[in-house]
Amino acid sequence: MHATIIQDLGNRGDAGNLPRAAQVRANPAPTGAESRPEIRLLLVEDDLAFVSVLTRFLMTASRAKFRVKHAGTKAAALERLAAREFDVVLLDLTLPDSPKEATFESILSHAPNLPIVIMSGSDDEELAMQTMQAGAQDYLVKGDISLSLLLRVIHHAIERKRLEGALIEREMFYRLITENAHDLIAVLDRDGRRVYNSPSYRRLLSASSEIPGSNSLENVHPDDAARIRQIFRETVETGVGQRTEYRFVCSDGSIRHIESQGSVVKDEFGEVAKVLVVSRDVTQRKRAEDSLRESEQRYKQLLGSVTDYIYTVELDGQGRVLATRHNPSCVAVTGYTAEEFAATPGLGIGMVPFEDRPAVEAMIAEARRGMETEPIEHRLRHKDGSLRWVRATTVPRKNAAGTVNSYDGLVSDITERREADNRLRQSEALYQSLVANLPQCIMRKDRAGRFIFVNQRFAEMLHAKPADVIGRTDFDFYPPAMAEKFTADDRRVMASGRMFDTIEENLTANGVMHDVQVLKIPVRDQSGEVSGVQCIFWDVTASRRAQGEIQRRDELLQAMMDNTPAVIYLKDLEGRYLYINREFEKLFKLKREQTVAKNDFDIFPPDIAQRFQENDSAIIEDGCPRTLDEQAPQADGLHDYLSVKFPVRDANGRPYALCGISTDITDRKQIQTQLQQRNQELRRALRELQEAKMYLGQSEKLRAVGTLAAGVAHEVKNPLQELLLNASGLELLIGDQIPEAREQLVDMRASINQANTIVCALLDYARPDPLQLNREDINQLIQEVLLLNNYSLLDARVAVVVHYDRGAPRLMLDRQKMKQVFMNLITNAVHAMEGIPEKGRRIEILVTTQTLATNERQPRGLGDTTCWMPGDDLVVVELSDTGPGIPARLLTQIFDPFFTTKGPGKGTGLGLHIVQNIVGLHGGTIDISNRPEGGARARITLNPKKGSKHHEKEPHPRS
Amino acid sequence: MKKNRILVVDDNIKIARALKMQLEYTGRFEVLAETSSRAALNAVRSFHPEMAILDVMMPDMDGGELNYQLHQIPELQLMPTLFLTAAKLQGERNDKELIIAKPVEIAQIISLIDQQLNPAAQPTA
Repeated sequence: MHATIIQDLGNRGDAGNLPRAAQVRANPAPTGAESRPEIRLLLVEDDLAFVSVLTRFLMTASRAKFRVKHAGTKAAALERLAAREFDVVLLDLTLPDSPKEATFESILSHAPNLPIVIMSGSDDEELAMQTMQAGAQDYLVKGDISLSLLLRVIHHAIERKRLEGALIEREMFYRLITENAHDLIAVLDRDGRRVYNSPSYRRLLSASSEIPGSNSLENVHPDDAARIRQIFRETVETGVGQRTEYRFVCSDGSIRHIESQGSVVKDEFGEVAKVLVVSRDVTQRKRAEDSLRESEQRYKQLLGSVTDYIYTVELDGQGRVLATRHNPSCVAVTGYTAEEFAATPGLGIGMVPFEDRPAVEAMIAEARRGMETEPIEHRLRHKDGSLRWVRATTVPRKNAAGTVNSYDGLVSDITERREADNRLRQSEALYQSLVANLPQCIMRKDRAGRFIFVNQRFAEMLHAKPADVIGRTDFDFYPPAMAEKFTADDRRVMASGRMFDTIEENLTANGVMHDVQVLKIPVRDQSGEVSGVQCIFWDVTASRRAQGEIQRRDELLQAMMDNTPAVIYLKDLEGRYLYINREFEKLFKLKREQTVAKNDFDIFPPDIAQRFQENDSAIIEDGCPRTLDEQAPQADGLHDYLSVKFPVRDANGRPYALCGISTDITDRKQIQTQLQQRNQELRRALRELQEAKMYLGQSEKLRAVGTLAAGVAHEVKNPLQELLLNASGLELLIGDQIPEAREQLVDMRASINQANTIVCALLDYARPDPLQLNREDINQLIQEVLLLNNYSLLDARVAVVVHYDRGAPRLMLDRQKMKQVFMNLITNAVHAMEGIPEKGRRIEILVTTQTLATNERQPRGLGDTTCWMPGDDLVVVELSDTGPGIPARLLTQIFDPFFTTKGPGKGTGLGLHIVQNIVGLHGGTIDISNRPEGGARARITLNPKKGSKHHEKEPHPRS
Repeated sequence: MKKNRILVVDDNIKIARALKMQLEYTGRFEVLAETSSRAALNAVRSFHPEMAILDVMMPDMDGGELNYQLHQIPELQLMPTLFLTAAKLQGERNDKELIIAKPVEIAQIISLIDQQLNPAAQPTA
């Protein structure tokens, strides 16, 4: 049953959306055993009593059979409606779960296609009427319902709803037809403004949204506009539509031929309200007509032409050939006369080579069928045997009945053109393939700079297809500055009409900049006007780079040669100078130009030139580079040169010149000497610095010892004072009575004084003062030293013999430092004698005063004696030991710092070094030598006049 | 014969005692021996020394300071002072002060006192 209904409705839509009643009515076939239709009714009502009454009411109805379902709430109603199995709804607006104003809306929204009848109380009648406007089919007032009224209302509701649905269907159907029709359907107002346009207009007017309201007359081609306006005006005024044809300008600017039929739509007063225009796009047909006209023209042309061979074939009603006619030109084209053609049926087709016959026969067949044919080109065997190319066309002629009764043929000899064409095509092809495959980039631009031709290579460089480049400009592919430059060059070429040739930068699409050689030639049209520019360019980056490289290297080499202090020259194999560098020019006061074609004999003295030549020829002979010592004269005499000479070979390896690089080593030798001196000075300075540091380090230690010693002295001297006082006290008390005790007390006092002396010497030695010069007695000083060393001398079993010179002049000395000198010398002597028998250990000290005589040699030894004058009194102290002496080879090193022959822990290697320093500071000399009789002797010479190199302090009483 | 009053101050009591004993042994001197500067400053008010023999390094007040304080006392303004010090290697002298390095013979001290107080009693050198 359902399937039938769906078909009846034109296969459209969902049957479930259609009014159920309509389906039922549309299908009069009996459903089940009952012949009466069943009406399925949903009763939405919360008053159960009313429900019961109404249900019973409906069941008694005889005109229709009802199946009633009941819902007491809105929710229940919606649930039931979801099943879509009702034909009508009876709705009470007053439901427990819905405000009565909203009840209808929500039921309707769930069943938009069901007829709804409202039941209201008398007080809600107004609301019920409102729901009618909102879509309810009818309303009933409770308490005022009769069975017949109820039935009628229900039936009317269902029927109305069905009609509504049918109307909507119909409308949709027409609309569909309109919208899908190929024809253009438009409704216009009296002024031609669009009210409605069928979707087919989209083919003409792109912006469909702008269609309504726009004036349709504006799309009429200007040439047709006046006529169409006139027709439109007449249509509106007379109410009679007309058919007309005009050109329509589409939104995209294209022109279509439109055929329109207008008709008017009148309003209720009979006035023309709107114009309905049904149009058809007849462009295709129009074109066919145009081509027909063209063909007619061609036909006329054909007849008018006399140089071409024209024939006419007349046919009978069955298409058989009645007669043929040939114009005189047939001889020129085919070689055969008209008579020969007439005499020989089939000669026409016989002249056509077999390969070309099908095309010719097809053309004739078409002509016989009355069809216009396109001209074809085929070959034709001339009477003289040559094969000719002809262009052939046939044109049918029809009688009044439209039957083809003859056709004309036009045959023109195009052999020459054809050959020229072929040659042209071949050369074109050759040119094309050449252009496409040349490694150069080739392009042609029109006057506006648009590419009108590009070859494959150029397109590739731009990463584009040639077709995509055509029509665009340099600005589409290059940075603006570059495109600007190219365009300017193009314009110049076009303006001047002359070729332009340059090297410029070009950028590939992948961003690589390279140098290109560009050739631009103006392109002229047939009239000789410049119509564009032809450009050819190719990459010269590599060669440019290579050239640049060579030039740079040349310049570098030149710069190197001209700026080196070496003398560089190039001579040919005969010894003539080819090149000399700037140093050469400078040294020998020559100019490069002056040395051309000169040899060594022209420049140098003969003996020297001779030597040069001998050296050179030896090198050229054996072909090996050599390093030579050479001499050349300079303003200040002969200079020594170290020359490297080597043969220079050509590309084939044959020597063609000799190159020499000579370096003046005279200076180098001097510099070496200077350098050595400087080094020595530096070494000495370093040593002195080290010594000073050592000495300072030593002073530091001594200063600490001094501080310590001062504390110790206080602790020692106070007890000594006690002892001394007590000793003298005892002497006073008991001395007179016990003479032995007195003696012992005297000894005791002596011992105490000696202890004091030692303590004082120790303090004196450690006193951390800078050089403090005072006029001192050297004898006393030596005495103090011996006292200080008394214990160690006794302990080492060394005997000491001193010869003082009590008359020796006083000297400006730093006691402490000078005491250190003697202490060190004594310590060294003691150590030196450790290896010999105790009895033989002896130190001899000799103090003398000597006068420096005029002719006397300066005293030996280290130290500055430059200020000593003849006649000066010198104080000399000699200290000898009986040890083994100093090995002669070590004598020169003994004053060096850290030089020691003593075992580990015994000597610092600084002793003699400090001695020498201190003596030096006092302006004296020291010399250590071996005595002829054995043992070593140190000899110190001091000058009382010249006490010190340093500032001499006058002695003054201490405060 | 009037004895010279000598003030001896030395924090080493043995030295102070020995000096006092030996100087007084000569019979020519009256000696006040003290072992601290404070005690010495108190004692001089009744003692009126003619000369002072002072140790230099003392714990409460050094010899120099003591000497200064003593000379603030009007009667002692012209009093000569002999310093005994263990800190120096050699003696020194100027107008007012004598500095003698310890240890020193008692005989030398007596000789120096006499130089100051009794030039006439000096034996000819």
